[in-house]
Amino acid sequence: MTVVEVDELAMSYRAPVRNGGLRAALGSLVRREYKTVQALDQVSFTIGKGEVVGFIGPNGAGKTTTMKILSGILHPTAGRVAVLGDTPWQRRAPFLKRIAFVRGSQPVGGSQELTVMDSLEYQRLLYDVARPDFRRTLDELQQLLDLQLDRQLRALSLGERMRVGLAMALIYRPEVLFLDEPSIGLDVTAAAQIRRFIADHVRTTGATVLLTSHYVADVTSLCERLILIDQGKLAYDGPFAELSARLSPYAADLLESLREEDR
Amino acid sequence: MRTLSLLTFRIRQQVLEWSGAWWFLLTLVVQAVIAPLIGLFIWSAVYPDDPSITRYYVAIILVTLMTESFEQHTFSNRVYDGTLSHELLRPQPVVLGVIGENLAIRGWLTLLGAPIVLVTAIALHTTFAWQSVLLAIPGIALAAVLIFLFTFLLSLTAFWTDRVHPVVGFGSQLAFLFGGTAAPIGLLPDGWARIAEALPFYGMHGLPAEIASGKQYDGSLGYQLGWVAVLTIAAAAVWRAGIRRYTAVGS
Amino acid sequence: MKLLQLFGAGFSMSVRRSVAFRTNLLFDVVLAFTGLGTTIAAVAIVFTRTDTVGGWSKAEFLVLIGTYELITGLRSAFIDPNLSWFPDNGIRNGKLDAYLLQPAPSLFLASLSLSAPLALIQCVLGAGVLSWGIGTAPDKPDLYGVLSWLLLVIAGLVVTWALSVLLACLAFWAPKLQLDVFYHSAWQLGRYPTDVFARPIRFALTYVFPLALIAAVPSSALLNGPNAGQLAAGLLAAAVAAGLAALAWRAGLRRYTGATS
Repeated sequence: MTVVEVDELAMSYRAPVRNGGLRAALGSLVRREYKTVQALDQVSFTIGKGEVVGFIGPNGAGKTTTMKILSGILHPTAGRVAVLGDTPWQRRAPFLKRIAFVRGSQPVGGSQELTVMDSLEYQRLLYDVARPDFRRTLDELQQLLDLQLDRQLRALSLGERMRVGLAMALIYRPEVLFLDEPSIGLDVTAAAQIRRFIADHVRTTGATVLLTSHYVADVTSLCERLILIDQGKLAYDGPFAELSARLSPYAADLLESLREEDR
Repeated sequence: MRTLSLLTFRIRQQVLEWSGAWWFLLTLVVQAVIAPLIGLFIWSAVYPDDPSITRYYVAIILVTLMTESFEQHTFSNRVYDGTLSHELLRPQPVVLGVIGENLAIRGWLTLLGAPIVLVTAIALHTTFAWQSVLLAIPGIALAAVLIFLFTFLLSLTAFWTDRVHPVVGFGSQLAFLFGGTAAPIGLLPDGWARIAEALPFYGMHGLPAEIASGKQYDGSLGYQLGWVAVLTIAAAAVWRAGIRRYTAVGS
Repeated sequence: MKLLQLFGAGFSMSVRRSVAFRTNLLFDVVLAFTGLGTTIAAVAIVFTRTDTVGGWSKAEFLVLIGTYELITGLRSAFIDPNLSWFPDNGIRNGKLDAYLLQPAPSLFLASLSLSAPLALIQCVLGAGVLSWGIGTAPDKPDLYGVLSWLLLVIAGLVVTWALSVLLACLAFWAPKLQLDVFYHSAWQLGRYPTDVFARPIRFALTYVFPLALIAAVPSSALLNGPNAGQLAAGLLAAAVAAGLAALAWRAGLRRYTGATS
């Protein structure tokens, strides 16, 4: 069964060009110059139910843009996208309850004075989770993620924030998970803990996962399949093992440099 | 001499830095103008046939624009986010940077607010005698110093509390009531007028505006100078205590 | 129903967290007191010299100030925490992205889901001034006056919400333009009867930036009895403003998500 279907996806946007200085600032009020940025170009792929796919590429390649389109935050310029049979950017409530998008750079939003438990309770209301289900999921998550429910969000360390961010997303048991850099900024042990948790979660729930990461360890330990995009174009889609053999020299360098970063 | 050139440098740098946010400065102009403008309308409704009311309030608007101070934003934020530490390392008094930014913002506000004052004056058929305006210049300068010292003094509480905005807000409420913006001092009930004349706030807005609009002027600036001395001593003392606390906590 | 539940949950959480900051509570109470005291003192000075200003007596001024304070308190408690400095607080820090992912109307989440209960102190004080004003008024308001006041205050709140949403929507087209300082300054004009202002300002406050609706219109309805025309105009203005806000939000989101362009 196909969960994510992406067909000839394209995204371009106009960005204002502005020079520094007062005169340019005043001038830009009257007449602005724009340049068109092609963020995604003819990207196609499908993801089956229960697959865990690694989504890699250099900074600015279009990974986050794709994730935002798949989760419904952005509307593409062209192409067809179906996630769980739905068009994401219509943002229908039943669809939104079945997906989650967690960003390592902003794992938990909302009021930072709230406690972890308050935030989870709010999620329960927001996503209409039945109380017994909520209790059961919370017990599981609490064990696996080692949550301290009475702490304030602002007092959490980076690693704790990411774990809370995952808990807030998983409390409503989404079928599709988009994880954008889940281990960014974490130390080795914290990143390994997150990785282990994601692997366990996928095994027990059969959730479909698309994951971006700069850390090759994240990708190699979790994903059998890799999608590589570069400058908005699909550069590779297949098993990790075949990647270096089949790649152009440039892309091989790229992968090598990703490994370097990981060290 | 070195101090002066450092200050000029700082002012020029700040004038440029704020030029990118000219629309924001414009909203600050509106903020400065609104209270005296309300006073103008209210008191004109009470004394519809008295041209001295409009003349006085147009002068108040101008004085307010020329003397606005925002140390609770500029300086206190530097205490809160810790960047004050960088300035403490430099071989120049920290207050010089604060004054430089203050003067740059005032310059912008005066420049951007001048058309508003002009339009108001023309729309209300207000005229000023140029001798009175010239006479008012030292008074306005001292008012600018007084407001800076007062705002800076209150902003120094940032060393002790994170609620510097309510503290400064309370100070501006006092200045609004007793400084001649809510009502010209002469229109306050008798006992209150006497108190207001002794407090420093009258010297911040009301006194220079009265001189500019041609009211009584005995040529003495002693009252303003006295308060400048008091507030300078107070600010210096609080600064010393605050810095001791800041460096002891080590943030 | 669900929106009400979400609203209630957000509010009760905010209450619990603000009780934790007791010194801030003290500061806020003191400043709310002195702020209102300053306003009343300024008006009291005026009334030592005259009996009416722009046709309004001292008692009517007090009713006006009380109503203004009430609505301003509600705005600071329920609307400002969500929409103030929207380009920075709402968009740049990713809050809007998070709201778009949640299964509830994004306009509700972005404009009403957070609250600052401490600001309700202002409402309590406002209610006090309101009853003081009614107490000193020679004619007590009748039931119809009270009802139309209530209706107009609700309309005023809707207009307040809509103005804040419209202002926030500017961020979708001109993210660098932050007009919060301007909005808060102009808001001060609502504290006075529109009759005292010069004609162009009065026109703007009635039709363009309808602050007259916030306090002046409900207050005069309370004291002078209901006026069918004013009531209808108030409700119509509320409906139009809310409709405009919803449309602008939709258009803004379309732009933000790249649906147009």
